[in-house]
Amino acid sequence: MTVRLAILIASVAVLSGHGFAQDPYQQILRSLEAGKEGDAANQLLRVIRAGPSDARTVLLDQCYTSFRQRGTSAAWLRCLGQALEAAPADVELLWFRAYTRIELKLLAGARDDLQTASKAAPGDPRIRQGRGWIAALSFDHRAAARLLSGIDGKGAAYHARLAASLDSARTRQITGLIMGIGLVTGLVLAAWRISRPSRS
Amino acid sequence: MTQPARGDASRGALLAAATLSGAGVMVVELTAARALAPWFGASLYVWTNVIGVVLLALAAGYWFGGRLADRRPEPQFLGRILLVAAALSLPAPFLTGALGQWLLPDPEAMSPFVATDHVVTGSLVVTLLLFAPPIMLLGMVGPFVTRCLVDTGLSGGTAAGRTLAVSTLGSLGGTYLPAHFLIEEVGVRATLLIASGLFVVAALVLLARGRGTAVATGMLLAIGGLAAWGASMPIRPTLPTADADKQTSWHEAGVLEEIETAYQYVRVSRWQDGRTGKSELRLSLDEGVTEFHSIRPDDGYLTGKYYDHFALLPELFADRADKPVDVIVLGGGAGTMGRTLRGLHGDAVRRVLCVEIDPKVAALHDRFGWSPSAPDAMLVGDARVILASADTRFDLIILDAYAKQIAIPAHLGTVEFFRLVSQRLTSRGVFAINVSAPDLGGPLMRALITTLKEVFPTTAVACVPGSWNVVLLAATDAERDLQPKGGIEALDDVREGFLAGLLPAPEPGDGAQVLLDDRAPLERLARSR
Repeated sequence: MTVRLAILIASVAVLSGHGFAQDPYQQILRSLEAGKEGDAANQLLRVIRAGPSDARTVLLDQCYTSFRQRGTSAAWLRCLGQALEAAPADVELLWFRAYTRIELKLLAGARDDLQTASKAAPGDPRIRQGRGWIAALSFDHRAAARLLSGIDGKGAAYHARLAASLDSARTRQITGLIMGIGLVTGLVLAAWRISRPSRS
Repeated sequence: MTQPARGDASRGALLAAATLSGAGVMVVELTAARALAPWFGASLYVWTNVIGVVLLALAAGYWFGGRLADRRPEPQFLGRILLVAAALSLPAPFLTGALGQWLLPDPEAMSPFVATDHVVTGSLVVTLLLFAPPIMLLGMVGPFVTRCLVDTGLSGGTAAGRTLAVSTLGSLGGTYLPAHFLIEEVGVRATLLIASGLFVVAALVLLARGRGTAVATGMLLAIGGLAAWGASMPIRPTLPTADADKQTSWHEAGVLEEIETAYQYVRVSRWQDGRTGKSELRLSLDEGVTEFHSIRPDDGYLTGKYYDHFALLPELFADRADKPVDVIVLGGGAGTMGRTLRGLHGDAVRRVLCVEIDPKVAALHDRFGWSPSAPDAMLVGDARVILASADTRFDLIILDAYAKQIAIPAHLGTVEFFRLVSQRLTSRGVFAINVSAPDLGGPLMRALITTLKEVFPTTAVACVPGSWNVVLLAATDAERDLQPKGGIEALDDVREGFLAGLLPAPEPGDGAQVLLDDRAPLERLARSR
């Protein structure tokens, strides 16, 4: 009886392991639901260490969605942080963390992530896109238009229009300021002339 | 040489002219800031420009007025100067808007977070072009009247003293009248025209028996006509939208009402979404014509804006079915939050009190779909004063008060105020603040979080997706769970967005300041990067 039970437990353990290998997302989800953030991070790490792949991108995307839906964005950021300790130059991880941070309005950290990512992959369009979003959130429309061009045509056009509007308003304001100063100076000169004591 | 004015009657006329022009200058100064508000706001920067330009113009007027008075000490000449000043002041009520539109960028580009430069320069330009010229001429009145009084036989000291005394008394009237009566009753445009009328009357007093009376009388009639015409004109017309954009985005479809209150310019307009066909009423204040301070969607209670995040908050009280939630909203506007909370939660909310400082905004609650019946109520007054005088505790205190679009009023963002809030919360209570902040690591959020942590052991933030809004949460219970637990199906999507943006309040780091009643630069912090 004891031997049978031991075999059964061993079989379940093997099957569970096989299940994990086939569906890490479900495993991470179960860990999350059980409140085991550390386990979720470790399971994520195992996949991350296997190196870039489409399956990994899909997994990261699924995890990102799940963590958010459960109100555990902070846990997701910690998971990504732990994963990045193991793979500090992993562009995909850096982009995911930057993107999450942008959504959570943690712009300084997002900038750092994109900066690190750009050293590993200088031409990666995702990095430029992330920078474009940060520029847009920081109201730097000119930079946003430049960074988003070729990636997000509609967004680039929108920010280019706003930048042009700000520039032309600035020109009009300087013109108006010159007119105003000119008007007041003219009035002062006229008053000075009219009020000049007569020579007689 | 021209004969100077002599005799008691002339003294009376001179002093009357000084009084009327003193009143008019103050009316113009105070009302100028309000005329600029729908375009440039009513920030300290705008007020500084108005006061600065007025002082500069007055200084020039005093200087040259004195010289001119020595050269031509004739009351009738002063009368003609006053007529010119009145004529120069006439365009201001009508051109402020046109100039504002010309000087400012597309409203979409004019974010309140970064628009300081445009606001400062733009308001300076308008003030220089429209208000400096008449004020400079009005500055001449004091020295002129003094000199003419001396010519009537008064000593220099007595003449100067009387002139200053009566013009200051006039200014006193000119200070109180617009604030307590004119602006609210007749509007900014008519108030400025009344100031022009005062200058014409002052001129008439001096011109009584001379040339120019016909011109002055004609001007008075023209002012009356302009006032009637101006009353029918919109203050700030409907925002222009390209036809293509009307099909694809939210846009202002029409302005339904414009009100000038003692506090601000209030605009009620209808907005439409070209993509979905949805429409809603929006209430905007001052220059924030693309911002909103209350919303009433045409269908349902959900607004699709940050209000929905606050509508979730009764879900923080798991026992609300047995112990309904008592809510007070500080900064209630026209009652959007009251309508949403009551409409979505029904009996799970015991009472919703909304506090609004501007009575004319509060009075719009019916129009915005909230007709509170006891125990719900709309209270008019200052949020801090009303909370301090409350003899009860609340489960949920929501702070949604704004001044100048993005700044929480300074006295509502300090450690002293947060202590008052903690005293007014029940043991299960939660305090929620609506903060406009694009960056959680920015100076404003860091200061607010630091200040909150001085009082509350539990704090969290929830970023509202796709907006600048952040819900800042705090509780006096150190173990308080700040995750809303489901209940209302209509809020499922909102809850998902709320949870996605929910974080423990980030550590503010070194150097973040605690905001005190003595020092709370919230407006500057809101605009700092």
